This record gives sequence, C-alpha cells and structure tokens, in this order.
Amino acid sequence: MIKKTAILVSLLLLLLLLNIIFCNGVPLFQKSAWQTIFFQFRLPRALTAFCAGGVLSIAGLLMQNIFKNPLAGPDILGISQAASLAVAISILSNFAFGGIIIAAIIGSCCYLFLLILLSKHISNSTTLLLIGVMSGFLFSAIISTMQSFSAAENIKSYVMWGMGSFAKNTPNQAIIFLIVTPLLFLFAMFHAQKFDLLLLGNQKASMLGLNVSNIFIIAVLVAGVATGISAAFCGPVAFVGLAAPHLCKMWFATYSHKWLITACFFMGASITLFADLLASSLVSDIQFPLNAMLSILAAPVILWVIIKRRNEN
Amino acid sequence: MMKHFFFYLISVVLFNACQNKDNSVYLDNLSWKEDSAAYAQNFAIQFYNNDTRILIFKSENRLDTLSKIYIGNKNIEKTNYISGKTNGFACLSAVYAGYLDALNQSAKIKFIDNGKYLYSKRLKQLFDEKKMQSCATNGQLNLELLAENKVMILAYETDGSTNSDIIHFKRLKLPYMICTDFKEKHPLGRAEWLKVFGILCGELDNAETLFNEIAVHYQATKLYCEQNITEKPTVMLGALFGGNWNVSGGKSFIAALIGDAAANYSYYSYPSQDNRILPFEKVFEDCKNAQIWLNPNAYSSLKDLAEADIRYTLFKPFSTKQVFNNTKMINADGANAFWESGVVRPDILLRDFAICFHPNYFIGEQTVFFKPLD
Repeated sequence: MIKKTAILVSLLLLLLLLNIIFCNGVPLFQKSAWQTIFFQFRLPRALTAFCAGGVLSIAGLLMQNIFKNPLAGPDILGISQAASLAVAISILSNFAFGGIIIAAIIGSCCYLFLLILLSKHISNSTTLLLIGVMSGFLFSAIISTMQSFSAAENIKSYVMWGMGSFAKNTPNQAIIFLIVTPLLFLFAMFHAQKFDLLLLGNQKASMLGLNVSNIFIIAVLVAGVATGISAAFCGPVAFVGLAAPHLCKMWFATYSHKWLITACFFMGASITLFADLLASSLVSDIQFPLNAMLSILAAPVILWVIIKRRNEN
Repeated sequence: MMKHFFFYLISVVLFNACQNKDNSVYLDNLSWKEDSAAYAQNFAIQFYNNDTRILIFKSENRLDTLSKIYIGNKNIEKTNYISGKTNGFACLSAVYAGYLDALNQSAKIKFIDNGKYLYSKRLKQLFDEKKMQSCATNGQLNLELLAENKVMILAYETDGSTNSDIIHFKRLKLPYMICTDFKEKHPLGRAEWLKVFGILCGELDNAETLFNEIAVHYQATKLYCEQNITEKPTVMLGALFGGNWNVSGGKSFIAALIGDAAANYSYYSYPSQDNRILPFEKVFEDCKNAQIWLNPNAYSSLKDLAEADIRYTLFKPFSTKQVFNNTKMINADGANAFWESGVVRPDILLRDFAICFHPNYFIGEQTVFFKPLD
C-alpha cells in the first residue's frame, strides 16, 4: 500500500513539474520573464488543478460510500448546480454581488446549509440522493430560463465559466484554495474509520455505535465545500470526482478509507494536472476546454465501471 | 369523373409552375456594369440602364454570393427586387441602424433587434414614439411580425443562429440582405458600405458624398501621422474572457486602424482577420512592455481592472495609465455609441487613436469615443 502511494505521489509530483514547465506548450525556461510567469501564472494554475482534483475526488469517494452508488459524484447532490445558479444570477442578470467566486461560494454554501438541515431529518440516503438530483434539475431549469432572457454577451460569459479553467486564478486565489484543501483532506481523514464502518450497511454501522446521521452530515459537508470552492475557482469541473475513486479502488484493492482518501486525493490531483497539461499544450498557444479533456479521459473509466458491474450481476 | 379530376390536377400544377417562373435568370442575363468600390471587398454595385444590383459576397475572394438585391422600376414581383420604395427596414444589428442614421434615413427603420441599446437620440426617439419596434424577444426573432410587414431585413452573416433565421426568411419569401461589412479589412471599406445602404434608400448620391468626406478626413489624419510621427508606440488589445485572452488578428479592422494611427499592434504577426484565443501568460509575455492598452473589455476604471485580476497591473500601460476604452459615450441604458456609429465613422476612430497614442501632436483636441481609464 505504501509502495503504491509512493508511486502515486511520484506521479503527481512529476505531473506538477511537467505542468509548470510545459504548460501552454512552451517550456518555462524559454520564456523571457520566466520568474513572473512562474509565480503569477503557472504555479497558481498548477496548484489550482492540484487542489481541485484532490478535493473533488475525496468528495466523490464519500458520495459513493454514503449513497452506496458507484455512479454518485460530488455534483450528484446538486451543489455544483447551486453554485452554477448563483453564478448565472451574477453574470446573466448583471447583479454583481462580489464577482463569480463569491457568488459560487454563497450559492453552494446556502444550498449546503439547507441540505444539512434536511439530512438531520432524513437518514435515508436514497431520499437525500433524490432531493439532490431533483434540486439539480430545478436549478438547471432556472438557469435555462434565465439564459433565454439574457444578452448574448452575458450568455457567452456564463458558457465560458461552465467550460471550466484552472488558468483564471490569481496567486492569492490559489493560496486560499491551498489553505482549504488540506483542511478538507484532514477532516475527511479524521473520520476515515467511520466511513469504513458505513460500508457494512447503515443498520450494522448503527449497531456498532456509529451515528449514521452525523456521518451523513460530515460527508455532505466535505462534498459541499469541495464542490463549492472548486466551482468558485475553476467553474464546474467534470468527471474527476467520479473517475478517481474507481481507479483507486481498482488499483489499491482496499476498503480502508484511510488509504482510499489519500489515494483519491493524489489520483484526482494527478488526473486534473494531466488533463490541464493536455488541454493547454497539445497545440502551442491554443487552449482546449478543460471539461472536454476531462470527459475524454474519464469517460472510459466510467464505461469500464458500468461494464464491470453488469458482468458482476 | 377521374379523367376530369386528373385534367384539373395537371392544369393546376402547370398553372402554378408558370406562375412561379423565376425572374433571376432574366435579371442575371442582363449586361450589368460594375462600379468598383474604392476600399470595400465584400460587395459589388452594378448598373444596367436605370436598374441597380447589389451583390454581397461571403468573403473578399467573391466566390460565394450571399445576397443579390435588385433595385429598379420594372414591374417584377420578386422577393429581392425592390421596385420603387421599400416598406422600411428591420435591422438585426445596431450597426445597420448606425449606417441608416448617418444617411438621415432613420425613419425608414421599422424594426430593430434590441431597442434597449440604441444610443443615437434620433433612433431612441423613434423607438420611444413606437415608430420603431423591437422585432426580437429573448434573442428570438418575431418572424410573424416581419412577415406581416414585408420589410427589408438587414442581417449579419454568421454560421450560428442567424443562418437558421435565413432559412425562415427564404421560406416566408421575406426580402433580406446578409451583410458582411464586418469582414472588411480596411476601416474605410467598412464605411464604404454606406453606399449599399444609400442604394437601398434611394440615397446613393448622399451616401457617396458622406463616404468621400469620411475618406478625405481619414486619409488626412493618416498622412499627418505618417509624415510627422516617428516614434510608434506598441498597442495591446482586449482583456481576459473566461480564463483566456481574445486577441484580434493582425489583419483585422482595428489592427489596420492602429497602424494608420502610427502605432504598432502587438499581434501583426498573426496574419488573419479573425480573433485568436491565447492564454494569459502568452499575452503577458508578448505585451508586458506595450505602451498603450486599448479596449480592456467593459472595464471603465483602473481600479475595476485591478479588482478583476491583479495580474493586469503587471502590464506597463497599467502603471503608466495608458489604458483607453471606447466607453466615453454611453447613455443611462448602457448603450454605447461606439458600437452603433464607430464603424461608420472610421475617420473619427482614427483621430481618437491618434490623439490617444500621440497626445503631443494633437494638443487641445478631444476624443469622441475613447477615454483613458482613471
């Protein structure tokens, strides 16, 4: 397990280095103002990709655990749609309440608060899942309605945000993300054993003394903050939260959340760094949409999960 | 009984076939003589006796003709044949309202895509008095309204939604003209489209006079810059949009204006008219030492610019306060005169650029569309 983690960390460090050096298809040492480019552009970009991939993968792992659904992801609870709605209100109605980042954080936190209140009364994970999915549909419908009433330029801004990007963050924003990320990681690690117990089923976990409602709230809180902050800094980032946990479960072949959370964090960060490297450097000075690249990388993993489950059945 | 039925059926079909005879072949076979444009590449004006034909091309190579409009006094019933006067215009972009307004033909505009963003007082008054109406709601054209009024639709050429609208114009046999003015490379080429609008309104002489005045003013400023200014500042354009920078091509309308105002555009090396999307760090590397920064999206102050992204402050024009935007003439509704009449008056734009780039050579002169960000 330690060996595999070491390989993963090495891979991550290599990708981090490659991303910083070869991002945008031009090596850093060939740049005239390489110091400014390193500190102002490449390092914040790489750190944002690292943080977003890491926290979203942990969120995905916890969601798959509490909902007992291998296709559950961090956006399954409707949190990223709530963030998108707040951003849509900010962009499409020209109602600027502190910019896109603040809007996304407010949107996801308000919805998260509501979800936590609900989860105190609903211990059934399927009901909570349905509420999340339906809320997501509702938010998407409101966004579509707003789009039909908005100016073309505002719609374009919103669509651009929806494509996702790690490039738009300033060094200060990257530092904020870098502070929140280890906190989320440690918070999830602190409750790792409880998530292990939850794998036995809610009833058995309760009989072993686990407060299932509390662990629900913890999972929702981690997933909510991770999704909200990622949407705020990078736009909605697709698929990584869904694909990374499956890759880790397959490779590490363990149910221990202590290892899975660690592995997911590094795997998710590696996926986003790799996707960003491809999106930015396949063709020099041309940026491919990040989410399209992530989908191309992650879709085969999801297909593999579906086929595997079908064979198991 | 069946015999009679088939006889009537065949008669009706033949009658309809004769009725739908297209006059295009007849009109196209006439010996049209072209009056070549001085700067514009994307249209041709041709004459035959008292008839005029306007051809609009998809691009300067003139391989694809997007619109053919005939103007004359023949008794021809054809969608794109304007016999005598038009029923008015529907402008699907404020730019076309700007052309017509410059020719004092605003009263002929019956419909506009979005009446909210009109700047000209004359246009705004017509809209407020309901002599001009919006013909689109939430970006969707009200085809019923256009079909009912049979006005000449002035649309812009794009591969997106407008093309689907054009399918409906054809189906409903509505007169329309697709404009490719925005593809003109020379700033005066775009202004020369005044002649096209002049012909549509029966005001060609007026349009030619106005265009010649514009061309003379433009060339005078250009010549003054060429002869007097030796130090050419480097100019950068735009700002971040969704994490990337939308850079105008080196052969674009604005790049030509910058060159004519005795300055160097940072991206003359991109030999294209189209925009190019570049990463922020690439633009930083290329433009960090530019002297002038034009059109940083919709930002109207340096403070707004810095708050949007602190890395904007790394550019030299930010620290030297040499950032200019086209936001000098904006009304309370947010309508910007630049987007309405800027392309019609490249002479004013060039003068603005020259004043911004070389204030010492134009002491006491005021800009019209552009202002420095403070």
